[in-house]
Amino acid sequence: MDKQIKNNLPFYLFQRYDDNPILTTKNWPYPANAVFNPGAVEKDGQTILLARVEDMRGFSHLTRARSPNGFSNWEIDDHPTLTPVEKHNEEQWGIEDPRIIYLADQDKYAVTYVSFSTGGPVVSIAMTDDFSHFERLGCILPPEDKDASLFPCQIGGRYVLIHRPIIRGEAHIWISFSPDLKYWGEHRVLLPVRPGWWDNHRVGLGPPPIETPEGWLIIYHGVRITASGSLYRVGLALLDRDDPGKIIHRSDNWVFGPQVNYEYMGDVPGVTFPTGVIVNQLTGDLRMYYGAADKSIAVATSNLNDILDLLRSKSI
Amino acid sequence: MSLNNSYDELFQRDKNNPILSIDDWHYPVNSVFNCGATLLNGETLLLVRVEDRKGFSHLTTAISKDGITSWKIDTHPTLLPDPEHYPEEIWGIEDPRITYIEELQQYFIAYTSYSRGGPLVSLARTKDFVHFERCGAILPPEDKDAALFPVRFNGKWVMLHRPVSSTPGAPAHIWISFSPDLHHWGDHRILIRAREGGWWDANRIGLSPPPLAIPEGWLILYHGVRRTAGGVIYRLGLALLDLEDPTRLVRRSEEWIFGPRENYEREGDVDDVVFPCGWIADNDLVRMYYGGADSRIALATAKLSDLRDYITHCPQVDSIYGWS
Repeated sequence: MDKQIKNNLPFYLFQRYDDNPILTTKNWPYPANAVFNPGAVEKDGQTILLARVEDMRGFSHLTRARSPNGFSNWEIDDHPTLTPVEKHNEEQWGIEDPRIIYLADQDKYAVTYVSFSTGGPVVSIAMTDDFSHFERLGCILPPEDKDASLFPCQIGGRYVLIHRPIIRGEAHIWISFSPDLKYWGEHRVLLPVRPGWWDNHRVGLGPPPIETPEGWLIIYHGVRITASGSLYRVGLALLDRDDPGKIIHRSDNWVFGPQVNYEYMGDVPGVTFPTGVIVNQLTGDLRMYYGAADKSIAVATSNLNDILDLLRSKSI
Repeated sequence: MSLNNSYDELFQRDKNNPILSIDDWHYPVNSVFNCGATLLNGETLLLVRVEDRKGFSHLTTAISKDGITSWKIDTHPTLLPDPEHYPEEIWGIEDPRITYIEELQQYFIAYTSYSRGGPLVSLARTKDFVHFERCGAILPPEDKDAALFPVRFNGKWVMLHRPVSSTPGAPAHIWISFSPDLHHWGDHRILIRAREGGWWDANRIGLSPPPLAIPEGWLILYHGVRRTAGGVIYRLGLALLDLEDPTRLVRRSEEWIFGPRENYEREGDVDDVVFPCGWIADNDLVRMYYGGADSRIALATAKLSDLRDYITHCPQVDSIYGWS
């Protein structure tokens, strides 16, 4: 890395892909208003995105897109992959914003998503091993709650969840615990908003927690409300490996935010909303998938070692 | 010809109302209201929400032989917030609902903890209302008005509660949730919906005292909140859940059955509020203890046979499962 870039690393930490946005409604096999905020996972050498697709009623469902390299040649399901079911009345107004992790102890993928109930958004969970068939475990957190992801393993004998309840517009990141994925308790604040800062109004988990030798890397979004709308930007935090309720470090600065046209033009301008990350375990190279302006899907790349260097040196 | 233009009153106010006020307290407080109620060793025990001048609440017991007079009030706060071990209690604990669970030989208290992130539901248990053991925060914010059923259904404990969303146009319904162990909760579903438009219980409802078993099912007393130009009005309605399957709403009153009328219900820290958190069925008499205008405690009684007769003549509810 040359010196110029190194000195300005926070500004270069994430590189936008040249052909962004990688997925838009124009690519879609059926009519849609927006495709955004995808969960991401790598399986059998393919990148799988589970995209949030909003129809013209204003309701969302989830549809799978697959690519051999995670950037191009996307193969998109002809029909919605996961749609709301009436048996779960909390899904009445759609399902949104999936986060995916592989649970080794179950040899299954867990998808945590938002169900938009008539009483407000809630967190639901479904299990799958092929992304064609899903088994719902139901609504795991009542309204208003969003931006939830599991950790990929049990910690201290229990599953752990990060989520974001919202109260009268203000929202901190919380952590909760479960013996069985279905029933949750011991809810507590993990990462609060910071009055006056770029993340003063709301914070919420982005992609699922990333396991590193230094602890759990958290990519989160922070919201500042301005006179002309909301700015959704991205910050970092590191949680203790064995006690993820403990924050080791939190970035002062945001490290990624709306900058280019497709992040400013859309249903909600000024939004970069990462929901999935894929890390190459050998090189540390990572791809961060994000919804841009609640309209399309984009990807940015970085390297896990660079991120950890910056966090360790507390220079961001 | 004589006019009969008055509704039949199911609940009759006690002539000693308000039965408890800050003047009865052993230490200085701002208000005493919204109390849980149960029988303990043949006496009536109220677990009273007490608000101090910081604006924070704690819980204090008051015990009486007849449930009306001669209250023995704890000389000190009985259950204080413990933010050091339970950070969610930082701004106080409020509005307890008491359920005696025979299987576990203990009383369980669902109460509101006022956390930094908003009000949420906590649970504690006790045998004697002197020593309490906390189960921690069992639902994240914003959630209130929770109470347990006294028995398990299909092996699971069941709770009703009232989460609030800040999404515009999302009403506050009563939800039902399940637990294998009372600590961890899930399978949350909408149970009783706030009505819409001009109804007395449009947009915001919440459970009042814990569910009461009657031969016809589980009797539910709930509050509906009407927002007016001058503030809010809290009134009460009835509903009935299936005895075997409490996820089934069977009947629901169209009209409210009790609302603010007397001075002690109409004027206080929050005007026009009647807010029961406990009721005790003693043979055919039901004693309902309620907060009056967030300032004091009052009592109203009804005949259980009248309540049963009333609810079984309320309209049947068609569908609750599925989408509205």
